[in-house]
Amino acid sequence: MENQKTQSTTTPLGIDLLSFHANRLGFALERRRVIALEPADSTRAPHIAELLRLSSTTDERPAQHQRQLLLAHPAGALRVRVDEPISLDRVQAGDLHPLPPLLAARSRLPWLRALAWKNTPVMVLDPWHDAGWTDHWGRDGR
Amino acid sequence: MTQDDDPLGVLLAARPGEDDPAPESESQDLVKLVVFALGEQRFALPGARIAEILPLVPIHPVPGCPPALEGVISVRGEITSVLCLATLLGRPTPAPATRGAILLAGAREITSGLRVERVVDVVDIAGHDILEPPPTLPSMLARVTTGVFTAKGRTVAVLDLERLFIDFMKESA
Repeated sequence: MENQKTQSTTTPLGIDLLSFHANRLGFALERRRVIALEPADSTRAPHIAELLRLSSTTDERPAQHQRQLLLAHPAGALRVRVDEPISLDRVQAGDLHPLPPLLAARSRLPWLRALAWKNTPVMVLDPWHDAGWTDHWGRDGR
Repeated sequence: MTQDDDPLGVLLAARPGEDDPAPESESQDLVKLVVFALGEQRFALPGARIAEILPLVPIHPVPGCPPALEGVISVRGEITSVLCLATLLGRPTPAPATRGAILLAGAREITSGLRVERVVDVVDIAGHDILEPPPTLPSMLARVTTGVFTAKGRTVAVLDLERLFIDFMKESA
């Protein structure tokens, strides 16, 4: 029991992130929240650019360069389409950054919680942290 | 909430916070000011608020931000926001960021890059040479101007960085 307590307060050295693209920008989600990575065979799944209210979807890649993520949430599962390339990376703690204060104050990008840096910034999304953004959850019945 | 519930939150909380740049000592009532250009006009910020003058590097946009917040850059591994100072001051939108400089500025535990068109000089000005802002300044500029002085025949407006940051953050309301 004592060991368990110690473990739960230790800062992890890193985190597994699943990185992908939308509108040619880099995004990532925590790996543990992704149940499955599937071919994008369902047009019913919204593209994550729509959920993020990105201003233009004209940069959306053709379907053959998209995949579908099945995301877990207490409110239900959600399938979203994302653009390739997709990669799974262990991101070290030092490469993970809180949002700069001015960005945190003024960004209207839903779910944005942190930034990682892989030559260019990767926007780390956390839909599970944002209580106001559960509208889309639970719509996937499969 | 335990680490198992939110490892991302634990990682973010463990990172060190941002500190104000240490104010420089000012001797003989001299104020060090970084003078820069936005179009034809000259502005200045206290040198004590400028940690570094960076060459212009690619600024990576983050969607969902107001136009003045142009994006983020990495400064030796630390990510910082970049504001377009011209846009922030309601001046004509400058050309795409192909030239200029980025002032790494800090106030109120906030650090951000400020894109300017050109850094003109770093000067020491006697406090008594900095005059009250004229009442003819446009209201947006008057709000963030603490004084004016003359250098090489040109009027330079001294900006209040703290007020710029506070106003920018308040606009989120």
